[in-house]
Amino acid sequence: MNPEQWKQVDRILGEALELPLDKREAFLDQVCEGDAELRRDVAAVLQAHGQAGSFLDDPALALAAKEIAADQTTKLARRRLAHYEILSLIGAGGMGEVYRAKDPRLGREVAIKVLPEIFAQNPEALARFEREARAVAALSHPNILAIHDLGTEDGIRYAVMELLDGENLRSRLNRSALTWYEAVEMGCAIADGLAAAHAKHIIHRDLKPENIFLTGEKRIKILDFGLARIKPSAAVPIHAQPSATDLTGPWTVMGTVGYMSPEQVCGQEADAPSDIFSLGCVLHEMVTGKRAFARQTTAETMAAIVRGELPNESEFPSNVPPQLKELIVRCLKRDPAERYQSARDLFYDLNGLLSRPAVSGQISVTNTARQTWPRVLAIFAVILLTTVLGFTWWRSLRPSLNLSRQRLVFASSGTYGAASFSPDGAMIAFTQAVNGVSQVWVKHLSGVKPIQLTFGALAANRPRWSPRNDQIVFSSGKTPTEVGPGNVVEQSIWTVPPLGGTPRPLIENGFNPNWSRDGSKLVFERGTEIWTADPDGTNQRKVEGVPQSDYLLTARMPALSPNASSIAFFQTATSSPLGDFWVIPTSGGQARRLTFDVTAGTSPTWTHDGNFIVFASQRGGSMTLWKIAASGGNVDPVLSGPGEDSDPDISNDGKKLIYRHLRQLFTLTLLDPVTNSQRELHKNADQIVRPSFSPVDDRIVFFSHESDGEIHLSTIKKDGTNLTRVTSGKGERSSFPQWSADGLFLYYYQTVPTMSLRKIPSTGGQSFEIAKDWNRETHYGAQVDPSGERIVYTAMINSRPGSTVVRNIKSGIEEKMEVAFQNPKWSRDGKRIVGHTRTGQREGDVYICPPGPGTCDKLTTGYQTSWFDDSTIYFLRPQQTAAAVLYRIDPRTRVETRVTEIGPLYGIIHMYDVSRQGEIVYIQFRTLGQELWLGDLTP
Amino acid sequence: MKTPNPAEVTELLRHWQDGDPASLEKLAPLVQAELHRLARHYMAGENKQHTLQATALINEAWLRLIDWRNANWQNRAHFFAVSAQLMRHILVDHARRRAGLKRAANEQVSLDQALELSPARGSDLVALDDALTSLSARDPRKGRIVELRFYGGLSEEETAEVLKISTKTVQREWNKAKAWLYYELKMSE
Repeated sequence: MNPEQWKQVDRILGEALELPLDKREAFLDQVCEGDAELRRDVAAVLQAHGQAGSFLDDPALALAAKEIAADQTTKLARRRLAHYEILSLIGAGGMGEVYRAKDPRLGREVAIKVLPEIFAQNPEALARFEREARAVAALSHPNILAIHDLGTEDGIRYAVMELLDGENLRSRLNRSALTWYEAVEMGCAIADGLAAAHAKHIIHRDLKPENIFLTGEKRIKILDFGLARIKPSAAVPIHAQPSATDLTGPWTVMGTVGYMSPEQVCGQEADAPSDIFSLGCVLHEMVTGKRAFARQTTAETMAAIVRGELPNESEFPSNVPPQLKELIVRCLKRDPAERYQSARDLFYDLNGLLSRPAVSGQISVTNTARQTWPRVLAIFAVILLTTVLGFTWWRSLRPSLNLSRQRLVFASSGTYGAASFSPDGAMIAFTQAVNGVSQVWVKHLSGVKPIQLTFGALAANRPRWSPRNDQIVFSSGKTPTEVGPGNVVEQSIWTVPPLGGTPRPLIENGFNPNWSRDGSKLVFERGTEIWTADPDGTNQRKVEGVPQSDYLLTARMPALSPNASSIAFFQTATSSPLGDFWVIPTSGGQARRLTFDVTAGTSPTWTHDGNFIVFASQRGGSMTLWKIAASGGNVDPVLSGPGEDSDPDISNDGKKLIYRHLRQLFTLTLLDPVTNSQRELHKNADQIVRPSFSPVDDRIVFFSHESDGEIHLSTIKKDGTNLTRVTSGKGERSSFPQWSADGLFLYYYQTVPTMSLRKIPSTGGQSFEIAKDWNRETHYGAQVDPSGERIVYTAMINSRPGSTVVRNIKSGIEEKMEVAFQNPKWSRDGKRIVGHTRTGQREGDVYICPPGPGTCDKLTTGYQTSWFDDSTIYFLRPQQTAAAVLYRIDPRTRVETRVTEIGPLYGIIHMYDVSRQGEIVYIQFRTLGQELWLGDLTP
Repeated sequence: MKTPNPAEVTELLRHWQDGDPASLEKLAPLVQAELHRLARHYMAGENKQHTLQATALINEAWLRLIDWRNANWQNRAHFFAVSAQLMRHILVDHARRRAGLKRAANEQVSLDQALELSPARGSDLVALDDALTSLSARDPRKGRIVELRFYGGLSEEETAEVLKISTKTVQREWNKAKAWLYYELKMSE
């Protein structure tokens, strides 16, 4: 707005504000007649006025007072406490002040809590505090705030703690509701922390959302363990107690009203079941959004806990699994004996809930008769029916052929990876990210505390413990993130003593080392070649006869057979990340192909007898473990289930198998950019891709991995109801579901049993072929025009877009377009095609073209275009984070508007669609953690 | 920290008003100390009329700080205008520093449930200040009204008296100014 316009808007605004609300529209119409821009501006400011509410009603000082008051204490801060340098005040409260400080000895930042002086007046309380703090300090559990040090200086008592970055559960809950799945995830971590504490006879006594902290890395930390015990009684309203109690003295055990167990309310000593009750309250609140025992006053709340009606299962949202409702109700039993007796049991049950497919609605199978379940699942079902198995330990229920009694190595979620057994099988070397950088650690399988072996800014990957027990080798260096010329893999192989020491380089220019079972030979990758070396890095030889590979991003992960005579490895197909497992003699020669899947695969490992090779592959849908005889033959599953499994390692005695499990969650999400409200429509731990709105009704179509191991096309209404599977039976389907203009049919690719572009009624039924021998590797992004007569697609050459072509379906005549698109899309009138070209990983140029030969117009930069109507195109622009910003552009005026940000998203293929009402549907992706699982192998 | 000497504060305030920027550097810590006292006092009394209370406290603070007898202020209005400007300067400066600290601390959030820092506030005041600056450029009178009412804690009547305009005009302009500022803040989000 220029100054004249501004003055004009201001004048009209003033006049409009004098009018009653219902007269303003008409007034604006009249006064702004013929000037739409003016009307829009006035309306916008007028709308701001309506929304302003109590904005600026409080003087600035009132707003700033809290902060200024808090700053005051900063001024009192000493520059130094013992050897800690105080940096700033984080906050202050009834339990003392918390400072951010630097520990110069260890070069790390810490939080220091200075206890209030009142503690000094009560030596007994102080002694108890210190005793408990010491006990917590000894716990060292990832879900419990670590206490590093306790001290006194000049009468100031302080505790040095781990410095956290994030928010507490209370503020998280205030922001938005949790899904039941998130609630269970968090509950799991809390139960795990409690279990560790209870094992050391430490009771929290005051578990509540304010004492549960969520770090930026999505980890849970329980705060203020043991502190609750010595809370000054003045801080809680004892007088409001409804029942006679024997509360005496100023240091009575108290929790927070609303989360206290009935026995605590009655003044009895809190024990483990009390904490379980409190956790039940927290779980209840996370799942239902409501406090379990919220009443008007403290006294009423206490009475409700002791005598009132207990929460029951009818209070839960309908999508909450019945097992979870039962579990929470059981935690909240009034009689401690009826609750879970240990936090560990509770952890197991919660963990079990996490691992079943996170499906929020029931899939209605369109044609059950055609449904052929994989044999393994059928066997699995029989086992379930005929044996009495609890749902406590889900992985033992997975259809594993010879892997039993599986357990988590680390109970909490983390970023663990690539475990390798020590020769005696009692310890493992593994990777865990420290500040986002992968580092090598070792751990006793029975012990608690892992030891970090590598430090520094470069990632340390794939540690392998020498069978001679004298070293652990690993690769270190930058990993390539993008294929392209000049993109050199700068990695070398290092060695470090198993129990710590200074790592030193062993082999220049090499990565992914691996030992033979006898420890006499090392195998490793160099560029796209496979090499061997002696344990000291000498005698390096290239293995001749390994097929060429031109795809730099995929590792071969070579593995030596136990007697070092053969090497198993992953071999990619030409210019593709997909491939198969092969075996070659270590001395070189003819390589032999073992699998014939052409799919993503990694990390082969030999069984200790050398008879089988266990490997990770996406052959069944998501990445999981399989095995094949070293001589070839059938491939059998070792594991299945949601998430990704990889990096198997087998102990020397052949009795244990360890692997990495990646938990992830895809959420089909509906976003209204006007109100910024989000709705989660469907969740899947394996994958959901390519959502698309029906052009005529409320349905959304998408592809997802389903529990039968197949990829299916399903529809769901945008209010989250009517989840309906469209495709049925076996057959690999992939990508690009597209609606016909009348909404009656869906187009999609099928790879197995016949490669084709197909058409199926959108309510399910018989599919038929549109184009034979088409798949997305050859004919990418096919889209049928609104008349149903033409298809636009991009012919792929070596996995890269060659040219974009418009094909007349009947005549087969093809016309080449000027620009090669990633995802061409027809306008609603069928007269134009919009899409983006790919110049980098994500960002490309957005072009609009006539369908066929003719000049294209560059509109803007961005990716994943989508028509809203014929004068509005939506597109994305990348963010530094895992999110993307959605824009819209008018192709005639080129005026761009930022719509909203969506995310977190999966990988680089960011998928969304826009409804006719302007709602956005997209796939949210979250990694829930990488775990190490250990199982017993039986022949 | 020593108690500020009213004569010293008055002197500095006049210098600042006369255009000597260095005097602000000396003035700010003195006033800030008073603000801290005041803020704590304010936080301690959780009564429902906190708006009135804050206004009263600001006025009280100035009375304590300024040596009226030697001030030679041309008039009461002038004094209010200057003090509102100073309040704005100090509060926004404080918010800016705080926002900076917070960024530096990588969005560090409190460890203890008892901590009730409101993390959004600091940056709110900063964004508001930017919006107010651009509003003042377009319409100086609206800018002054906001300064007096929001930073100076003046009532509509007092503002009218200071600016020598009618209370009705103050109301109207204040109403519009709020709409513009809110609009501006929303646009910059």
